[in-house]
Amino acid sequence: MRRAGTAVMAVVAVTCAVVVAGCGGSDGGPVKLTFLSGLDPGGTNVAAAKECSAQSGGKYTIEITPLSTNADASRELLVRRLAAGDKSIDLMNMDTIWTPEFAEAGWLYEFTGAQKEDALKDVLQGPAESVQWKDKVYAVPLNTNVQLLWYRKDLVPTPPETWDELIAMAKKLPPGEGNILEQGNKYEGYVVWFNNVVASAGGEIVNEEGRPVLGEPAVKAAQIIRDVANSGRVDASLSTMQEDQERLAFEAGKGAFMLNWPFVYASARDAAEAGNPVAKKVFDNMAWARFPTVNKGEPSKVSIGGANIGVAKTGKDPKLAADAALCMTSDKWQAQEAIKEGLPPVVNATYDDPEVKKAYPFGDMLREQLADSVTRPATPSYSDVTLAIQQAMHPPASVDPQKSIDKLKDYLNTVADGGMY
Amino acid sequence: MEYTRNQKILWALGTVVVLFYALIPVIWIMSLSFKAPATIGDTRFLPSDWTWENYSAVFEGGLGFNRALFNSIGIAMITTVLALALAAMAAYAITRLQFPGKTIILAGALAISMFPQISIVGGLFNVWRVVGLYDTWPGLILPYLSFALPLSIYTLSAFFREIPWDLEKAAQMDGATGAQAFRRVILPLAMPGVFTAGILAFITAWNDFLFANVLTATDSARTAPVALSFFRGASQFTDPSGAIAAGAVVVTIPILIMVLIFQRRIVSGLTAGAVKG
Amino acid sequence: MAQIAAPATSPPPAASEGLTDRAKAERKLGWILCAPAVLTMLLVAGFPIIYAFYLSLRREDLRFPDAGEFVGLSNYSTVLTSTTWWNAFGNTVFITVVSVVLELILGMLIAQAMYRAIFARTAIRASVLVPYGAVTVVAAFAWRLAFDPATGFAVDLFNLEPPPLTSHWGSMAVIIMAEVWKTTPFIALLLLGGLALVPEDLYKAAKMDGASAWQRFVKITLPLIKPALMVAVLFRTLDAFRIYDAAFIITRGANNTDTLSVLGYNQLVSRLNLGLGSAISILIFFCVMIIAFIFFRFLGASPERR
Repeated sequence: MRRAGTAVMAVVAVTCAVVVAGCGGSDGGPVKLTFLSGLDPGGTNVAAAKECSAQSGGKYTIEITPLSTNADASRELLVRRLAAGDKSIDLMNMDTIWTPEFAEAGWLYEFTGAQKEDALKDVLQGPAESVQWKDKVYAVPLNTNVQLLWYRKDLVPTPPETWDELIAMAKKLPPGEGNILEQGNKYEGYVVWFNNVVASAGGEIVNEEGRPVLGEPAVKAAQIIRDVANSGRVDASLSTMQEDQERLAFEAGKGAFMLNWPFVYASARDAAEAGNPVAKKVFDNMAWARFPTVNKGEPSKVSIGGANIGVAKTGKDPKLAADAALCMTSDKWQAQEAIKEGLPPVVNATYDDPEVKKAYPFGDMLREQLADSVTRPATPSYSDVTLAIQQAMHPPASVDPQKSIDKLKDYLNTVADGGMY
Repeated sequence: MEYTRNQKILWALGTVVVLFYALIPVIWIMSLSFKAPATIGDTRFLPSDWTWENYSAVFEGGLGFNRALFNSIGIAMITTVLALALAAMAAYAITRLQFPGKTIILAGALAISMFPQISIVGGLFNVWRVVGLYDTWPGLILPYLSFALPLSIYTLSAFFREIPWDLEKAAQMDGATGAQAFRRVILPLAMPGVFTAGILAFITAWNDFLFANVLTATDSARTAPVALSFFRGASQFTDPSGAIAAGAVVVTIPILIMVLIFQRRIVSGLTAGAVKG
Repeated sequence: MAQIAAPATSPPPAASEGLTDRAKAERKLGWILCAPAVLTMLLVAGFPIIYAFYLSLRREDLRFPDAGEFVGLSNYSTVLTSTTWWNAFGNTVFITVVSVVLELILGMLIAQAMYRAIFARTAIRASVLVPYGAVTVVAAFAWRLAFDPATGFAVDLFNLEPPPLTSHWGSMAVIIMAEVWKTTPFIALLLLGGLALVPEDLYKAAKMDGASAWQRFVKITLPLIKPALMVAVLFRTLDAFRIYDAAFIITRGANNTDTLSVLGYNQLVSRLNLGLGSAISILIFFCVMIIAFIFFRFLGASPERR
């Protein structure tokens, strides 16, 4: 367990019962902590909130206020409420990329001492970095995510190591069946693709100040994106394709390669079990490999997805809320999230849990890829950066490597100055 | 005017086209709201099997819609009452009394009614968050007055001008006191105008999206149209379209009923006063 | 949203002749009665716009709370030299012009149909009020969900490939349709009011002189309903120029369909950049005032004198 013992809490709770006014809420009852979060389809976070409240020995009760399922809308609402000094938020489910923005604006409680240790104990490197900003810890890692290369082993005997190999292999297969499925819509998923290739080429999009770094690796990445888009082995709707459309196309046998998150495995299995012969053939031959890299021999680095739990500084009792966050991310709930919700755990040891192993036959690959992961451009103005990338680099087929990157550099400098492009 | 046969067919056809034009989108959203979640993606115009499921999801699904409806009704009613009270005094003065500055007041009200709301919402957000009006009823009622008040002043002035005020004097000569004369003679004549102005102010307040979207954050003041835009599916992968459609119908029905019952008044408010909400 | 056009400076009522004292008292009463309304309007509209102007002269970003400073007009030059502003400006002008023109044509046709309706007169008048009564957000959802490839009937029915909401012009078309559907009844009702004023005899006389239907429309109907028309066009233009609800719900700016109000919203609310956002707000405000001025000064729309 990465959690402080419940015995201590029980003692405090008893003390509270005696000295009513001193601790917790002003009426002496458990502090009501409001947790803004999407609801897990399998109900895991609701169960976690309930059980942690019960375990707190009367110190707190966690109440979930559901957020929108759309990440952009959720961020916008949180940002507006935090900026307005809303005191009714205690805990929030945060995308990994929000940490710098929220921390820089002074909205997040900093984890220190034992809480900090607890938050990072045995956590994989990528997720651990995603809760930190300027060497301070501002959240607890909840779950993580990373894209892998999914391929058809009946069509592709050995998986490609680099993007160039990938394109070459695809071209040897007939169009349609040999397609490469990627996220090409003008949205966050496209930025993930670009960032993965830039990072794998050894580059960076922006530094901590939000200033563009880009350079040669970015130009190389832009060139790869253009090459993929013009390879003749992509779907006609590449420029509007998102994760779910990719998955559907793959299950329908319309692609030999798919770059996507691990949720595709379980849904391919479900589709196969539903009795569709094409889906069955696809699932039987579905294999996975590391995300392709750029230069042979240099392992790929990809950006992580996933979520953290942050604590609002202006909440009722941030320290207590941090305890609650630690409880809801403990080993038990890590495993539950992994099994019931398909969200990969952040704690290394959880991958060795037999049940998790069963649900994730590709778990070791996942852990390996996660160990080399990078966070998406870590900067307080992430939302500006992602829009700039989408504006400068879309649609994929008309990327002009040097020109597009120059344009992106201009845009990024403009937003870093607080301007508009 | 007599019509030839062809003209008759033409205008009858016109009538049908207009009916289609006006009603299809509304029928569509109603039809969508009765589709079962499993068939919501069947892209048919009418539901294959009808269900109330979406409505129960809207009212019982923890979407905060009940509270949002309550907020909408409360905020729109208070806005209407305040706007009418302030506007009635001003409109009375403008139509009945002689004083310098009334042209400026009218011109100012006209100018304010042209204000783009986006121009004032940022400033309001920044002030509201400091003074504590953010996400409260008064925090919405005040900005709503910025359009409800000019609208009411104009509508009421237009109606008050039509009132034969001399009747008041006549009644007083017949022995009624000033108060009696006002209550028995003027009030009944003024009420239709006040009523019309009230409906128009209520509809515009009910209709607002921008102010409510920016200046509210939680159930404590979020109005129904904004709650609608925040609807989510039961999980990340369920589509909320059915619930949105059901909520949309619920938001629209009361206004539609009001509009249809009072259609004469509204049309006269819109055309005689040339007022649009 | 709320707009008004027909004002009411009536000839002074009879009460104005009288003693100076009485005139003074009346003057005082007038001011007292107007004061609450005037003060409220100053508070809820006057103050925020002045405050927005003040913010527009500062670097003010709530995500960097300590970095506020006075920057003069630089926010304005930033906005006016950006491509996003001009993009949104172009979109807004396009939406405004196309929807107002369509509304006028459709509004005129609907007004004629209502005027000439031989049957279902009440039904047609009532049904035309339905779009007017529909909340803008609901209208926007109705159109969005109709054209959504996943739920809508329209994509399959009209065999639209690619679906309109995946392209720039397709998205613009859906936004315009939602806007036109919702607001045409307002124009139609105003024009119907105008049509009722045209004496039937004039038409008959013109017809006997051999004037075509089009000539009768241009020579008789149009001049008579022009005042109502100009006021309607003015208010619809201003209204369309501020378009926010429909654009926000239907595309939220996807496929480069940002309008000026959505752009302002993004800067103010998503980016919390109050300085830049306020500069955009003030610029939109000036655009609206310029449009109103043009209408009053050159096109003879004059609610004051109606």
